[in-house]
Amino acid sequence: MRNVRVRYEKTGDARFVSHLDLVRTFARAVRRADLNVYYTEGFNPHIKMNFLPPLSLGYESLCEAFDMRLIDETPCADVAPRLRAVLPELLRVTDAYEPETELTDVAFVRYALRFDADVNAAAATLGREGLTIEKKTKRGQITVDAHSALREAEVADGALEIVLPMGEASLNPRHVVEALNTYGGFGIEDFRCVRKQLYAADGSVFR
Amino acid sequence: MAYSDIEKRLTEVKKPSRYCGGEVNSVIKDPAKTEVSYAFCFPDLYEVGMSHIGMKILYSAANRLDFVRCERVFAPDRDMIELMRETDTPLFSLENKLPVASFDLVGFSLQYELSYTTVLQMLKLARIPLYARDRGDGDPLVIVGGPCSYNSEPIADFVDLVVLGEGEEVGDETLELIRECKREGCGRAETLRRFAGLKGIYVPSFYDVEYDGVKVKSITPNRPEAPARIRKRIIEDLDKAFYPESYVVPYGEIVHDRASVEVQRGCIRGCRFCQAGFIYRPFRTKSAATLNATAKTLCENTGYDELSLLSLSTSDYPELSGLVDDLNAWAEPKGINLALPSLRVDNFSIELMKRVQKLRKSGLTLAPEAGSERMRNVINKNVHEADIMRAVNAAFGGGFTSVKLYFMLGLPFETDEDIIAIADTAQKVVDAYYASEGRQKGKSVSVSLSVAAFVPKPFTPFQYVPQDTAEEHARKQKLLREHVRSNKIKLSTHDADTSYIEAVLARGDRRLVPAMALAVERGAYLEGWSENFSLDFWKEIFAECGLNGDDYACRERGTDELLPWSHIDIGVTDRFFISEYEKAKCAAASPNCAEKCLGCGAASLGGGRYCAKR
Repeated sequence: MRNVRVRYEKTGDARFVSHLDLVRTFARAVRRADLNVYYTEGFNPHIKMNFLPPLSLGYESLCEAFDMRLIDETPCADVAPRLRAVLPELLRVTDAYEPETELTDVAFVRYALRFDADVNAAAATLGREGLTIEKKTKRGQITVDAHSALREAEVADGALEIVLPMGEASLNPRHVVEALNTYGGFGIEDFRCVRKQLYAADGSVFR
Repeated sequence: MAYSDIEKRLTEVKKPSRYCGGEVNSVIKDPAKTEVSYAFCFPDLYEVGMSHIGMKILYSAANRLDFVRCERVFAPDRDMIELMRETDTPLFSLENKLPVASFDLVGFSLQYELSYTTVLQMLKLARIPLYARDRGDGDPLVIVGGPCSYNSEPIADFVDLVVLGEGEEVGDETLELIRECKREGCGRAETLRRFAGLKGIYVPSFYDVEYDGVKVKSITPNRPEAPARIRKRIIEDLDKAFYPESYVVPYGEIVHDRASVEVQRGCIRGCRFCQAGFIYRPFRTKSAATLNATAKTLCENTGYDELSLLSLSTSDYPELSGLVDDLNAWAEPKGINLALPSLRVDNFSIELMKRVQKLRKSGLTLAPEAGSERMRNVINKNVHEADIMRAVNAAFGGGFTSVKLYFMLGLPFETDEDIIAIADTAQKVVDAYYASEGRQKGKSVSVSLSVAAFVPKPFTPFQYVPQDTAEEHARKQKLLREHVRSNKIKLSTHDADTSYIEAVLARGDRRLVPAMALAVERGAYLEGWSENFSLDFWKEIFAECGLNGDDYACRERGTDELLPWSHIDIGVTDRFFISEYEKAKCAAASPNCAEKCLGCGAASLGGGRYCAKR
């Protein structure tokens, strides 16, 4: 039995598919692709799959991942084309390989945000010292110093690109937009968000 | 004004994925490269509509034609309607997100009387003129089909065309005729005239109806093209009928989330209350080989892990045992469960249940429909108490601890003894559990007793009978409740209010048209969901329109009376309905089609497995 990591994109209208529905969709895709994978034992067997932390409803991504286990000798290289053939273009499988890391090793995520406001000014605002980001959690409101939480804030291709922590102290791009509105008066009502890249703790691209 | 405005705010609504399409196996065609466009609408939420097998079949059938672009539309939930209003967006299709009003043909599936107002509300959301007479050459043709279309008179003024019968062939012909009319530049009037000549198509505006008091006096064609009676269409050989090899697999969970194959059409039983048992006659089966091949392909193409065999009474499928073996041979190794809904009590086989429900053990559901032997003869249910007890004993012996029983209250010729017999039957099931050797020790039994109000339907032997008044129904419910004594029995009585409006609409005529329009103006929508339904609302509507619902629901019709649907011919004759009605009066059962052909008339449609040559 070997682990295989499936990398995929979630774009366009697929951003309205909830995480739970996405899991079901991939399970059915694995069945359509007739891949021989490991099922959980027990009363109600289902395919053993591990996903990255859920992407917020409405966000797109170019770097999603889930792990499952192959129980036969199917080469990992065959997995991506077989899944691609049975999934819509908006959920495009880009790659599949035997992972050398855990999905929990993802430490940072790069997002690209697009909105109707001055992105350069927004990047500059985020670069200021002393800016705080508020995050509501189950345990109450947490205030995070933007300067330390934000690994990067730059403008690329007309979008505001930010790198945020994932895992324990994770931040959602929404928190950053709220901070821009609160402290910068940007008045951003709606924005498009694309998850672009995953990084390990040392800053290298996660694989 | 367009989908792009909605899209920005789509995360504000519940379950946004139901409005954006793009699911696996959905068919997205280029509007520039297709000659005929067809918006296939289902007057209920996505989860309900996507579960409907007829829609799956007809969507694939239409899209297999190169010149056709068939796109799906479902009733938006109220939060989405609000968003559509705020963004000034008309109802749009899932595939290309195009306004429904821009399609050539707009079709609705009529599964249920209470969905009529949703159909009309969807026309309004689409900004299509509500009344057919107000539509011009640039507006779509509005077509309806499905079981309720056999008496769609209450909405006759809102639809252009009605499909009577099975849609596979007439659907192709409809789309071809639209192409022809478009090519020749026919106006609306000419197009409708040509449709009147198509077999299985009813053009309501080509008929004038006269009334005499509460009765229909005459139904007269007002065009030479319109036939005096319109006959339903059927597929004679189901093995040759189109069946999809794949269908759209939704992202979200829907009501029936599984692959399903239709094993047969029609029903041999002839239960006298059951409209489906008559409108789908004659009884036709698919071969086990076809079903096995279709089911396998379907599972491979959808990835579902559950396969259901659909029909009105699956245990009447002559080759069922062999089919289940064939299916299990490949389904089991792949972890695919077989589901067999609609098994009958009488030839219920615990052995069959064991074979198909290896993995998940659900409760047992039985539908005796009536409590006493006499009453079951009245309705021709042909189920005996011994059958019921054999079935529950087998189930309890096999480890089941819950049984669901379905009954109806208010059946014709019902006496108080028949009602008390419902409670007695439930009690006998409870007693059988405690007497059962194989029952799970220390576990209690649960019998849920579900009792619905009888709704007389057109095209049944009971089309003549009155529905109980609200007072009488309440009295009967109380009587039943008094006789349920065990706390193991959970009695639930279905809402009689909805059954009353169903009864009004089911046997309604065109005089209900203004009431439908007023109900829609006042916001009636998705009334199949109890939270959206109110009887008082309808009573007010009827009063304002000078109508009395009781004239439709609670009036006995004479067997010589012209009925609002007398111009519709489903193959089964009035003579047969009357003879079955007479037999019901003296509690005489009839043999089923497999035992003896009674010459109901459906043989003339062709293809019936048990129809005698006459």
